[in-house]
Amino acid sequence: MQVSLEGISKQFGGFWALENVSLQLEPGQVVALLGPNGAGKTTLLNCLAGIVRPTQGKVRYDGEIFHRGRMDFRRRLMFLPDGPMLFARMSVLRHVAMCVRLYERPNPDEQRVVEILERLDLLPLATVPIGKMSHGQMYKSALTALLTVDPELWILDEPMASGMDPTGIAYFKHQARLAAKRGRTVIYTTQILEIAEKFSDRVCILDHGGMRLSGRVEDLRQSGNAQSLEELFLKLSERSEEE
Amino acid sequence: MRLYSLALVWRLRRAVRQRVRKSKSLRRRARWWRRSFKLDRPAIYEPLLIIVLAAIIAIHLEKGNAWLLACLTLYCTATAVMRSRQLQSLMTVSPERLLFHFYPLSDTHFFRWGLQVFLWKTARIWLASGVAFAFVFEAQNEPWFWKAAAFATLQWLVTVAAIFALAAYVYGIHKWVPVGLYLALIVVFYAGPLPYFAPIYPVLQALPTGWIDFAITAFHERVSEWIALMMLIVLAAVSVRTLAMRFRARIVVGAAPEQVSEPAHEPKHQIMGVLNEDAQLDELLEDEEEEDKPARPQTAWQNLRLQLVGASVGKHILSRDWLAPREWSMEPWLERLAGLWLTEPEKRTAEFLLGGAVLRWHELWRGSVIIAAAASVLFVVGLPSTYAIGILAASLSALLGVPVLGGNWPATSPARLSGKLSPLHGCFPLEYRTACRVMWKINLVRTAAWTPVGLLMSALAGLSYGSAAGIAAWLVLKGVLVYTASIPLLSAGQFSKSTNDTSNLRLATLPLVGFAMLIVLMFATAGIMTMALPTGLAFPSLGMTLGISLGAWWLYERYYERGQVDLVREPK
Repeated sequence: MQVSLEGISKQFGGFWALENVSLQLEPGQVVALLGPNGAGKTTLLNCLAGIVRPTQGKVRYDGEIFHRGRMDFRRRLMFLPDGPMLFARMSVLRHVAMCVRLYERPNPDEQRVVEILERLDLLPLATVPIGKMSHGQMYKSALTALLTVDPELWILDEPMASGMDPTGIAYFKHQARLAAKRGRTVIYTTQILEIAEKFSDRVCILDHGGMRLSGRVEDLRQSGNAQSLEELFLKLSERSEEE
Repeated sequence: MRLYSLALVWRLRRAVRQRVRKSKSLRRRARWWRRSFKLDRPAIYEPLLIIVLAAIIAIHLEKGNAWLLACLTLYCTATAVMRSRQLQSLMTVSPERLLFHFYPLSDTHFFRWGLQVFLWKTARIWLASGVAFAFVFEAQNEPWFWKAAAFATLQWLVTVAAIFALAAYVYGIHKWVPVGLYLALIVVFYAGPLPYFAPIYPVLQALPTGWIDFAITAFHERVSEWIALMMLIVLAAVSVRTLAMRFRARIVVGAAPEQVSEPAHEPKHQIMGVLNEDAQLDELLEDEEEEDKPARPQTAWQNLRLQLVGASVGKHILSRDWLAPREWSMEPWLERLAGLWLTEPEKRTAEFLLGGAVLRWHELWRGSVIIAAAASVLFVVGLPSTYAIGILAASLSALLGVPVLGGNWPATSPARLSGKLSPLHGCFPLEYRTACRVMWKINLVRTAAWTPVGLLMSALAGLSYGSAAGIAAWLVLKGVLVYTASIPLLSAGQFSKSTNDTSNLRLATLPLVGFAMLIVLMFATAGIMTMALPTGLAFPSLGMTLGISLGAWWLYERYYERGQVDLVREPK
């Protein structure tokens, strides 16, 4: 799915959380949104998912304006916030079944679901209420549904700091890579720059609600004359302080 | 509308089981998880409650139907008010409403789903009505089963219609209104068909949820009873549908929240502000025409930073005023009185327990005095009907003036902690004993402030209705003393409410749960004895009440301080 942000601004009360953010993303990319705390990363993801409406600007998917009422687009994307939205009394299997129905997908192959559960170490917990699970297991439950539904646009807020264990994170990264190869777009936020550098096709750096840099990691490093993404990020932060 | 296919869930479950069976370690872990946590525990309380209620009805019913029908009406009215608040909340600001923003579910589908959930919860109205009407018709020696079912359906429909009407047109009903109505129901139900309550039965039946009672009277021994009943049911069903649609148009679609994360300082009316999807789309399309607008010179974030760097905020930070404790001597009179009794460390604890809230105890006291004055006027009028309403008003006055259930302490409220609920104080060094002492002192001051109001009101009631003023005042004083004795128990409850002491049953906590039930029973018995016994025996009984309360408080402290209870509980 082609993603296009055109001059997105979002105001909360008197505060501009996002300021004139524009971005074009072609399908089949893994995109990292970086930025200091309060930069507007989560707000941008919320705009992409239709959770909040931009005060100004437009979100376009495949050239068409997106808003919360566009169920056709909402069935093509899935958003996992840092605290995933789950019914505490449902089991992971029921949650998967719910997502399959809400996203109007055909019934999935059982073996595929079992494989995802096994890789995420959720098999023994498959019939346990999600509310009884740990934070990381809850995130894995939501991720199981995402992997089963396999939407065209994956939107994830801090998946690397979600409480998932290293095996879960590795499995997620592997699946995201495969999904990108299938033409899916994966947009995620993180504060771990080493992961962003190695895992992402493209990096966008937000600061104070504005888009500071966007592009391939290699290109950004070269243009910023930096050895690593971390060095580039720190340089940008220093420049921002001076301004 | 089903959220998921049960057939799919069963297929997935079978596949998971087959895979789990192949591995010994998976089998072991799965067994542990299954044993520890099960889906949807069956609720056994409601059938038990129905049996108890039916027994009470059977005891009292010989004295006539009016009392039972009045109770039913009061129950339906209280439920209508409570459920209307819940319905508004479910459709606007509930966790479910917020949750479904993250899934592709339209407002229409959410409404349909929410309605199903809600209507299922109203089934107990039908059940309670069925039981009540069964008794009524059985007492009239009529074939009662189908008739009771039909009347219960009618009662249920009328109550649901009332819920929708309230939810659509009345926003902001205070949470104490349904609580007050339920308390009134308990009083009327428990007291049975007493003569001085009789005049209020017709008043209750005049409530929208009580019209069925008139229908019973009108239909009795008529040939066309069933036809008329069916017509009424159809009429009620049409009303339910019309009002549900009206509610949907006004609240669900008309006031869909714009976003899930409104800043905390946003006033509530902004969250409820009108916003519909079509209007959003229009705005978006209009925005397309304004593409060449000049950029704003400054973001608010930058403005904020300038302010911070600038003089005023910096000065404020440097002045250290914000580190100063609450100035209790500057508070209104009642809060000031409480502050006088607290030591400096207790004041700090009180500030924490109150979560920085603005204190409004004096306003509550003022409200209780106004209601008490109204109740006194009703007592002075001296009619049997005004007496019953006066009793209700007096109860409301007590509810406002006395910190019922131990008062409101935001720091003991549950907050999210890694997917579970944990009290806010859990992450701070709050000592059980100090916190309880603060609660006791403040609750005692508030209770003492209301006591003269209660005594005066009861004395007037006593004078007006033929008993001595002193007797009535003594009765109220005993009530106040019993409440005072309960303060330690209630303060332990404040700590207990956000723990898993009653859900995580282990060998160490099992005695606690058993003992807690015993203590509640003993406390209630001692309290009732204090109220019922003559003066000479009331004091030992009061001492026993206080002893039980303090003993329970002390015992809970042992458990709490030794870490026998976890400061987490599962979210519902």
